[in-house]
Amino acid sequence: MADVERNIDVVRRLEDAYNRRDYSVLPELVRDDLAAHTPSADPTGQNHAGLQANNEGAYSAFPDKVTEIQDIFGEGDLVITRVRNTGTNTGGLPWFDIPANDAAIDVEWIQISRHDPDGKIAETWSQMEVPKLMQQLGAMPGPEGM
Amino acid sequence: MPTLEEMKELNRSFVEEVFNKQNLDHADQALADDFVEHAEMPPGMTPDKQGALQWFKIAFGMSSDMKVEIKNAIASGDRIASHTVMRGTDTGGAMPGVPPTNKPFEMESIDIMRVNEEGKFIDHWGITDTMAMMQQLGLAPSPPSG
Repeated sequence: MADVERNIDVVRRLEDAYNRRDYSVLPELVRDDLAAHTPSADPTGQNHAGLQANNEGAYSAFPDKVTEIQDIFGEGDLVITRVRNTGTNTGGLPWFDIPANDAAIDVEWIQISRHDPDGKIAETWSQMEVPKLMQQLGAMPGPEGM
Repeated sequence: MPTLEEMKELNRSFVEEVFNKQNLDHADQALADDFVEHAEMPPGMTPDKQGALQWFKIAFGMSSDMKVEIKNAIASGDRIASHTVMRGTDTGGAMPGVPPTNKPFEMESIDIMRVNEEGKFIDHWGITDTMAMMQQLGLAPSPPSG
């Protein structure tokens, strides 16, 4: 398997593991000294424990959360992944001061991952449709109200 | 079909001409007539070539010194992805409905473009860290630290 194909497979396996809430594969797929760049977000969740806490936090807000890879390709040591994330806010997002309100969310995020020579994810850059998410959660006025 | 290097060059020249030189004719030539915009569009703009050109025109008015730098590019098959950072000063009202703040901003984007046989952009998906810009301009609360 070429390096690019192997790296794409690592991202697919990680997304699948998050969807099954199975964290046993994290050490195989992600370096524990991961550098995750997510501008304007809280820069926590960089090591395995942090990644698990992030995913569990998302499930406490959206117990029916499902992510689905819409597009994935790579070149060299980089992989780009576009993911659709759906769920229902039946748990609340205390860190955003948003109570449970049964709001349905349907947003995308795009991530670039850099893989080490073993294929493990060493660095990520991500962007999420945060304004759209906030609007769907009822925490921000829609574009008409801006 | 353009080669991967040719697709990267299409992306480089698009950033240079359209974002850094505000050359709307270049955008008109670079987008296929049946171009589809998959990213969130401001209200009233259609997700097609006409809407995209309209959006560029508005974006040019937001900041007089706007410059975009490509940090990474990934090409595969008929897709080219790029991770960019846009820097500028809010001289023209970067947020719709809000007067210019004259503050500097720096925001990252991750974009995916699909290229057709003639070497024109036919699809675009992209997410920009608009929350970061709003925070830098003092229009949104900053994230909690730590």
